[in-house]
Amino acid sequence: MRAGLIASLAGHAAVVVWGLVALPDAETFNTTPVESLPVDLVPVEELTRLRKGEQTETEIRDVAALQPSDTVVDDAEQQADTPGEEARVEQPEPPAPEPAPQPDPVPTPDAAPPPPEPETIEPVEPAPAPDPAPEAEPAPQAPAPVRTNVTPRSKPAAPRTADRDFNPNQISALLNKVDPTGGGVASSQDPASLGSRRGSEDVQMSQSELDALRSQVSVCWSPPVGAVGAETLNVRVRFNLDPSGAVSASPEVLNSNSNPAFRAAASSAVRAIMRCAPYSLPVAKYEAWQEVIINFDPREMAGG
Amino acid sequence: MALMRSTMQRLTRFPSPGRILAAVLTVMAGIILPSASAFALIEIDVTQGQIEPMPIALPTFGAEGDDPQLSADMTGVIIANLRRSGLFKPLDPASFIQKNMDVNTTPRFGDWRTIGAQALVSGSVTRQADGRLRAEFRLWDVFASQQMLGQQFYTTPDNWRRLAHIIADAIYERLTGEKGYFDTRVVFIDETGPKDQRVKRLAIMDQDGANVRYLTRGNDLVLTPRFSPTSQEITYMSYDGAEPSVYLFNIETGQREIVGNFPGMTFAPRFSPDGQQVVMSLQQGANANIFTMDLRSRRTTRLTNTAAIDTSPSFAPDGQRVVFESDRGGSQQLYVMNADGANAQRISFGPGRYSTPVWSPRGDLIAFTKQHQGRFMIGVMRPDGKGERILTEGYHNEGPAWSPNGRVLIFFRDTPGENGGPQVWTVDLTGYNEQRLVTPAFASDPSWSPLIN
Repeated sequence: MRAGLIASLAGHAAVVVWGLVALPDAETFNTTPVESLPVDLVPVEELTRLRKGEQTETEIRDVAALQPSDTVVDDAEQQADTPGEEARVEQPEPPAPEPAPQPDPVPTPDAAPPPPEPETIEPVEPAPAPDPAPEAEPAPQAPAPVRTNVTPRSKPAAPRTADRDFNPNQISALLNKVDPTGGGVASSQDPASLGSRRGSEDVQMSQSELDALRSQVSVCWSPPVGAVGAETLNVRVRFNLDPSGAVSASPEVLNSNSNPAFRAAASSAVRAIMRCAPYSLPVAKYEAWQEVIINFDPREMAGG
Repeated sequence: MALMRSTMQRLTRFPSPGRILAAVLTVMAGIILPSASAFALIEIDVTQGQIEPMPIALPTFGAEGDDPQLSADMTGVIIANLRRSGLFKPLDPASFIQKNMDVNTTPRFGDWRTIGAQALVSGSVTRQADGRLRAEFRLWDVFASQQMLGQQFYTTPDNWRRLAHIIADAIYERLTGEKGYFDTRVVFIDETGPKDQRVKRLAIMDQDGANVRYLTRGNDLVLTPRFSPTSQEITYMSYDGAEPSVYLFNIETGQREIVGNFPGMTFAPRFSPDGQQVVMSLQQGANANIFTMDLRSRRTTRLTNTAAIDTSPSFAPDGQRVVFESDRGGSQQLYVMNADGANAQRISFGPGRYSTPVWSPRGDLIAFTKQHQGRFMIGVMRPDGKGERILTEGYHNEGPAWSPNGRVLIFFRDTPGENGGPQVWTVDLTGYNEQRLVTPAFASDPSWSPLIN
């Protein structure tokens, strides 16, 4: 019994060892890259934002000048709803027009901006108050900037009042707003995403994005498959892309081959790259695809 | 990531000691390498492309002299050649945006990209004061915006058609990487008269069907003409005299001579690749065997000695081996043997009968006629018998011959019926580009010349 067990164990162990050592390697299963369609991922906000703009268009059209300030303020609201933030955005505007026309109210608004945010709420309150307006009749602009300050707070009411009290001079006052606010928002967002120090490791093309690029190129590639040894005519090409997906310099062929047909194969590869440009690739990952190497391998095509 | 994945794959398989070591090494390499290769660069493999004819624009060559008709004719010949090859798609001149191209100015590449041209040929033809014809052309890569080729030729005006072929060859060679075959001729058997009383004449024409000339008068039956690969000579079989025999014919001098002096019928001749020998079959009783004859020393050598019919020998381009057909195994099949007749190996194993093998001048393929279930097919296989592909099939296809660059096959196709007769067709290696070569009358047994130099 025991001898039999030992013999059985030894026998099985021998078979397993023999199998490990002697059985042939399983052949690796080579998969060919799958064809895929290039798909653009569009954030849903882009569409919704567009629709919103269309709806309000009819209402605000007559105060077209107001639109920039509205949108800017919207952004500001989305980012931070605190009154302090809003006020800070608006505050730079009044100082420009105000000091010139009215000497009287100047002291108060002027004093307002420099102090910290809590105080800036105050200038908003006097806004509805009609007091300053009658005082400084020669300069009707005074109420206007104040009202625009209100618009962001109570959205529905503001455009209407602005409608009624429309004043051509107001436009310039509002237009002036755009520069500081627009620049401020953009610059506050961009630096964060431009952090290139970790960019190269973080930004990676997904497999489907690579497939999309592959299928974009292969549509334009027609290799010379009839030549002798055409299946050995690998061509390795490096090229640079600009953010729009266009090829920014002429592609560089990295390898060479003694086959006389190589020159034709190389120019067919370069032609494929030039023909298919510009490429549609995710702009956010530009850092990952600004430089591309493509191996054109005609082996499968010439095999038939 | 890729390294990690490959390591995983390796580990999940049966680990043999060597493989474990390899896996450990891979893991270590995976730890060390990424730091070296971490820069922003993507690398992809493209293995699938489109096999499609290249769009090429060929505006009519400028006529700097006084002969616009001549330059239009030459351009037409070039366009027809490139289109026939199946590798190019000449664009419709009506779509051209830039008119009046000049050979000496750089084209506006944007205009040509817009219409989808990938290559552009500009040229001019000038009749010079000394009576000679000067032709020049430039081949432009539209997408790389640079010149790929520029050449200039002088010739006598009568030669304009050949000149057009030479230009087409240069374009073809630069764009495909293969030698062209347009400046070549085809020898064939011209057949006229009713089906039961055909007059067969040896004839020769340009590869595009132009310039047909008749080399014999049709008194004797002629068959299977074959071009010499090195000279303007033809070998063929004729029933002139008591028994059909193999002849040599010099195209330039018109001189004719019999090859060898054998007691019996000789047939199926073909030149060796160096043009110094003719290999053929000699009938001996009910059998046929293969012989070679050296054209200089007139010495004959026997290659096969079997009680079977061995025929249709054809040399490999390196002259080391010979492919032939034989029924020694019971049915017609293809065999390959050494040039001295040793070591014959059967290479065709498919259903049906195989005949008329021809070794490609490139050496990579053997073309043949295959007969199966009443159909005749023209196909190719590799010299080891693998990779058989049928390129065309039909009621009666026979007698393939290679173009000098080994890319196109020319053969003849018989049509049934009282008024039917053989016609010459070409098919390229893809099998898709099949075209009829228009001849004045019925034609059979075509054979392609080497490139004329």
